[in-house]
Amino acid sequence: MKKILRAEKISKFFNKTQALDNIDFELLEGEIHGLIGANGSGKSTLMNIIFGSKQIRDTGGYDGQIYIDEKEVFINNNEDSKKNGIGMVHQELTLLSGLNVSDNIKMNRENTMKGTDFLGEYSLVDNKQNYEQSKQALSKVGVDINPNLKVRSLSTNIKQFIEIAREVDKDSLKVLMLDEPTSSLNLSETKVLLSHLRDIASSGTSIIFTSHRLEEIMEVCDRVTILRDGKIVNTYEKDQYDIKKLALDMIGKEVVQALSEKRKLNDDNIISFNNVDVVVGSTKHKNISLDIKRGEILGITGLAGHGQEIFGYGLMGLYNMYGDVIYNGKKMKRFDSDASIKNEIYLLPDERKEMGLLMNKSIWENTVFESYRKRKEFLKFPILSLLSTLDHKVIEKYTLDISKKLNIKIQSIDQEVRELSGGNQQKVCIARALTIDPKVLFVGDPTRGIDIYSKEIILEMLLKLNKENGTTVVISSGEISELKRVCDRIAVMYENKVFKIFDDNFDSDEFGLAISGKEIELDEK
Amino acid sequence: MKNNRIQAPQIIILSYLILLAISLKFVDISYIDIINESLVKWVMNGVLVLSLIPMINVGAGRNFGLPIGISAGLIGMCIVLEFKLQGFTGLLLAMILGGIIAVFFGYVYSIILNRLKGNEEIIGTFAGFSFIPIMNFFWTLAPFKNRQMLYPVGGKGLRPKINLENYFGGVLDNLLQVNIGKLTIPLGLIIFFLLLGIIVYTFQKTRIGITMEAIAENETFVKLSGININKYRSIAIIFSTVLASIGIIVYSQSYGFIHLYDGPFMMAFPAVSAILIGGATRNKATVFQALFGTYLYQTTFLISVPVANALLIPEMSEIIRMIVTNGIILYAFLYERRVKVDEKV
Repeated sequence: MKKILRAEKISKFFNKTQALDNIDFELLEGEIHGLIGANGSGKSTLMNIIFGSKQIRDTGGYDGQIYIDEKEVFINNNEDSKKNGIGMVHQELTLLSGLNVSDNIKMNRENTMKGTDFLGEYSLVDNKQNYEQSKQALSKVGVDINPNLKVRSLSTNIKQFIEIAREVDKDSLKVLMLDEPTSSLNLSETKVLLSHLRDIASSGTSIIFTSHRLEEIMEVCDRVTILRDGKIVNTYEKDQYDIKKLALDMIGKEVVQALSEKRKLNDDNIISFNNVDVVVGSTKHKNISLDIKRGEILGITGLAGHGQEIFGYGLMGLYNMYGDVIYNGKKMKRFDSDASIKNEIYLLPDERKEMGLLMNKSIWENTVFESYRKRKEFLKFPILSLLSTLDHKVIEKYTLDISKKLNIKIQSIDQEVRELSGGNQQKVCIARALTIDPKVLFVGDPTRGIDIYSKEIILEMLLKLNKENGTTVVISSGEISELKRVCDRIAVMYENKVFKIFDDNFDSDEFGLAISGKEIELDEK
Repeated sequence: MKNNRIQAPQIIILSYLILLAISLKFVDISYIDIINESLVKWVMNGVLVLSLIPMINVGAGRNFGLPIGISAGLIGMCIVLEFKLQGFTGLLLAMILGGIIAVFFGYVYSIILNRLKGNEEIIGTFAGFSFIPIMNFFWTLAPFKNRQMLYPVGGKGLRPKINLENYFGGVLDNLLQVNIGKLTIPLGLIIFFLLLGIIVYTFQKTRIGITMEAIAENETFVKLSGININKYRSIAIIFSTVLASIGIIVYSQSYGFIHLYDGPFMMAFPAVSAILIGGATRNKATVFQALFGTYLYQTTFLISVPVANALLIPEMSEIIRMIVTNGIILYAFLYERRVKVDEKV
């Protein structure tokens, strides 16, 4: 088979850290090639090099050669890679929310009205043809929506499909790189996407596919390349797949899964939401109720966009919440971050880059930030309260200890958080939660975009926090299999309401049906 | 260190300074005199520059509303003059009175800025400019009785320039002066300046200072930690305003006059320009940058006056001063914009 893309001896340094070490990579025509590795193993770096990202250029470019159709190409920027038929869909969405779907898909490649072509840039746009072609592109990735809708009004998972459709619509597309396209999709959507990727590949476009879910990789990829610490560990053909071998190659050691023990829960509630109303965006959701038991680990799940986050966000004042919330037997008067923090309720939001971290600040600052209410030892002169300086010796020791405990890979505690990989960033968030040591901890999607090894460390730490400090942990997440392993109870959300709460029968059919908002028919009556 | 990196503004101003220093040889002025004067000029303007730091670091932008703090300091000085207090008592009391008035002014100013988050710089410029006519009302109508402050003719309303010679003019300048040969070092003045610098520096290292820096970076994050953002911003704005009021008092005692009415009109731009030359950005400034920037900026213009007058036409130095001052600010705006655009790709 023809080799579409070949990268030879690719090396890349960030400052003094080697991100890629002599990588040789081949992509055949029409294949789906899986690229897997732990956080910080170099997957994104490799894709960024092929896509000509600015980040690579700014840090001194790369070493090695890239061949497209066996012709050497020099990729210095996005334009070069686009000219060579390379398209990429990033984890972060890059759509213009004020425009409609077809405008987004045909951006810069608009069809023009016949007869006005001589005007060049000023020729009239043929919206009808754009509409038709966008519809075709969307059907190629498996969604059927009206391309005249504004992107703003669509959910995150649909946006993900639109991004892929935009790339697929390009006639010259030879190589399509997808950086974790399924991380914001649920199971059924993932299935739809994967089957359509197969079709796209068999029509001649080669695909590089990354995901942290190994099951997906094994299902859809023809070959898999495993990266570890910037080196290629192994490349497997489809008939050699073995999930244990893949995991072992990725991490270099066996992964022990976090698992909670079955136990008897307390009867009293630490927080009760009694028929509260929550305003999300411009819609008001009414009559939402949930009891959280003292000392439990509660999972909140459901399809994306069905309101798993409303309880934490509501208490913190990120969403407006009205109504009756009983905390520790007392009615809460205000729902904002100030009141919640005073009551020792803490939230680690799912959007960690936007809300959960100070990206340009050091690791130690992120770890100890505003934890001083409980941690007087970090202050040099606690008596001065706000005007006290910090005791850097104590903080340094503490930060180093906790980094070690959580296995955060750092060069020094003064390193800025944005230099860390996604998994390590999330661990810094967890480190702060541990430092603040709240009574109730809300965590949003703690394992999204994180490799299988780090995932287990994070879940293990949450379990430990719950067990040793008696912290009530509320995890909202779409990763149902993880919730099943660590949670005492799981609440399933549907259309911003608690649809059903499961105590133990997590594996029943009823659970699966509840996710899509369906009750099981009771025949026994 | 990346906070103190040398960029276009520093390079331009440094090469300009070197060029001027060389051409000084052709004009009949001794280097020692220039150094002596540069030290006084440094502190004279430095405190005003220092006052920008708290607001920059809380993310409220460079304080173009400097005239508000300056007006507070001016009122403080006028009150002291009314009671004919002299020497150090007068100076310190002026600072205390000015500071108290600045707390009030700063509070009102912070209410405005907190309502218009994200546009602090343009709002600050506007607030500063529109505050001056209001103060002009005050200067003409305030019931001051000391003849030496009032218009000589008519005896009503404060005069535009009040002489401080008989009060506290130059008291800090002459404090603990050390003479080494021809070199005169105003040690007391510099110690006072460094002391203020240490206070600002330490403030940035306290718990509240660190939280303020975090506000500049990510407001949502800080809010989720239970911090009242507006309260912290108000504290920083009040702190900046108080420092500005002290700044004008230090300035006036060196200058020898209290300059009322349109005096504070154009004081914000040179101060902002100086801290930018020091290498400060929109939401990060250090004490070192303020000190370094002020010295470079002020010394440059100190030398440029005699050089330009001798080698070019007179008044040329003033024109160059305006071009450089405003050019540096414009460059900073353009540069920030470029960084912002690039980050998206």
